[in-house]
Amino acid sequence: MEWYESEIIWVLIKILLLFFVIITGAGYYTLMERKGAGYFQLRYGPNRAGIFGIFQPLADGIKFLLKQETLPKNVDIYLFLAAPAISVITAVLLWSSIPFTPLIKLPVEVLGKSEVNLQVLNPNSGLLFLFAISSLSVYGILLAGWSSNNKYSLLGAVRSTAQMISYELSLSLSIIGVILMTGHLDIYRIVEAQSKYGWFLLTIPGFLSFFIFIVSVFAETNRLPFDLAEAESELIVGYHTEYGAFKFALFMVAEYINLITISFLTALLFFGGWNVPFFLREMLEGLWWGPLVGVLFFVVKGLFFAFLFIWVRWSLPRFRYDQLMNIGWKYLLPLAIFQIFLSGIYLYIK
Amino acid sequence: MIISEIPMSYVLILTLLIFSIGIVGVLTRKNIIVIFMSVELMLNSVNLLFVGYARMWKNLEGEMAVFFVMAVAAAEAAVGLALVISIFRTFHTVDITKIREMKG
Amino acid sequence: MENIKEILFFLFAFIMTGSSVGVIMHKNPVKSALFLVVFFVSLASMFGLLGSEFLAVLQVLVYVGAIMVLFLFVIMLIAVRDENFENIGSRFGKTMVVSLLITAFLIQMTALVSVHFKNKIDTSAGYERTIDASANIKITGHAENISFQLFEKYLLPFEVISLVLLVGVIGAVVIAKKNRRKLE
Repeated sequence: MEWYESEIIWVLIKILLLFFVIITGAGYYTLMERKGAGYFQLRYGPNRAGIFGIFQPLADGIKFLLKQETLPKNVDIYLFLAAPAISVITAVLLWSSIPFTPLIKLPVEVLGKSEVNLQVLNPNSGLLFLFAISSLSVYGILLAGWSSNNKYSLLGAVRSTAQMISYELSLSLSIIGVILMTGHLDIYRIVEAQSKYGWFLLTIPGFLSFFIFIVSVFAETNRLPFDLAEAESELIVGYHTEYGAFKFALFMVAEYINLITISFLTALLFFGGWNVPFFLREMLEGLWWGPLVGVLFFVVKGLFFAFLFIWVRWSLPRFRYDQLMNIGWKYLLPLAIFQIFLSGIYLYIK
Repeated sequence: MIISEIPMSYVLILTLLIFSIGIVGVLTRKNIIVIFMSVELMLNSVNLLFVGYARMWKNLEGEMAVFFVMAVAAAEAAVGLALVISIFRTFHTVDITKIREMKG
Repeated sequence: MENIKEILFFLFAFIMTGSSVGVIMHKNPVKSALFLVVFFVSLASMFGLLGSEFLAVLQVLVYVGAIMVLFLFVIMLIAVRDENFENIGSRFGKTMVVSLLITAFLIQMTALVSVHFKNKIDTSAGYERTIDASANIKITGHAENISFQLFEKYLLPFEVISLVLLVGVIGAVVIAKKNRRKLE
């Protein structure tokens, strides 16, 4: 048996490739955020390391690595160290079931396989799998806050957990519309369905569910205007107050990976993923590199949502905590239930 | 591709082990929350048994049972934890040996 | 590579047993709850290993993502951290006898059940030592199959369960609300 016939080796290659792409992506997302923040505030942002500050993420990484690792005195040492690891692991694990490309049909002689898919595993209940993994990310925050033995950390963690649990409800209810219209939990099939029916955003229940989804996502990832967990001006920085050096860097990386995941997931669920516009579809028919053009479209859509997060962060002020809970329970949740009802009616009429 | 399956007896033994550990937990601990968690252990060991048998008989009934057990367990956890909170409010402890209002 | 499933089974079985012992033995309730989280995650992996992918995902989503967070929340809320933790050993001897008796009873029951099954079908070699893995996919554990079962055969229980959940939510809110009339 040749090496390329083994499925395990292919999976390992995919995992390594994805891992490096994601870590680098998270690094450059921080650069994008800082540049964006700079321009929103009429300044330049980082521009010393390389042209446009292109080496800034590298410099940041080296700086974090070289800083002294400090351990506060009264922390619960195992949990204190486990918390950032859990955050990063859950963030990276999410990427295992996100598809980027349709099946690429290659001539057999190129790689020894006729079909290549860049998805590491394709669980039958893909969307549920994603939500299950993302619900684990609460533990990173909760443990960090609890083990630090610090009032601010615990407060930040409790706030953040309550917020994440509340918004997880409307988040998971909001995708039910999409699932109903597709009839599958498999993300790959959800995207394929959109090549037939058009973007889900353009249907009536789809738009409503997109609205609920995007609002809940801001709360779920602890971004402004819902960044009550960090709230620099009230809680120092919340759950990672006691963390320094590379442990802090891990929290940051996890946060940015989560943002990238969510932006790409939005593109997949509501904006047609890798589907190309209709006039291109006939041109690309039958070409083996046709799917790669689709990937290009997909990445552009994903990057737009990544930019949206930065845009909103530097434009809106923070909500108060009771306002946050009110929005979650009194407005978004009933709206999400109404949206399920609406998708049912929509499907019935159609 | 032939993959050897896991014998049912292994699953059965594992289930027994965890169920017994759960019983020991319920009987030995004094903290209400830990007792509660031991009950969850027992529930889940039975879930595992259901899945094992569903696999053995090639039938979905077992998995449906697990589904319903999960739903009931979620409701039970919500009510149970609310009870724990209200007990703590009244007695300022979660130690079951110290809660003896009815003992006279 | 042939018995990779068995190796994985023993790995998860080891983690499950170890963490469940951790749940009942650890002094600190927070750590107990975390052991239970480890237990649930490995149980989910075990479900996946036994072929019910959907239940594995559901297990993580419901137990780990919701119920255990609630547990941890309550533990942190009532601040058991500063309490003097109980001495585990004190009641261990007495209850051990009872537990052993119950365990023995359970083993007896299991033996009875397996003898009963043995007469009906041949499960002597475990069950189905070798199955074609690809043919298996149709049978269990996929979301479509479960949903068909749920909305056809089990429609009434499903509705009842949703009522139970509703009652549970309302009950939890009512019980946990601060009661005005305080007990002296």
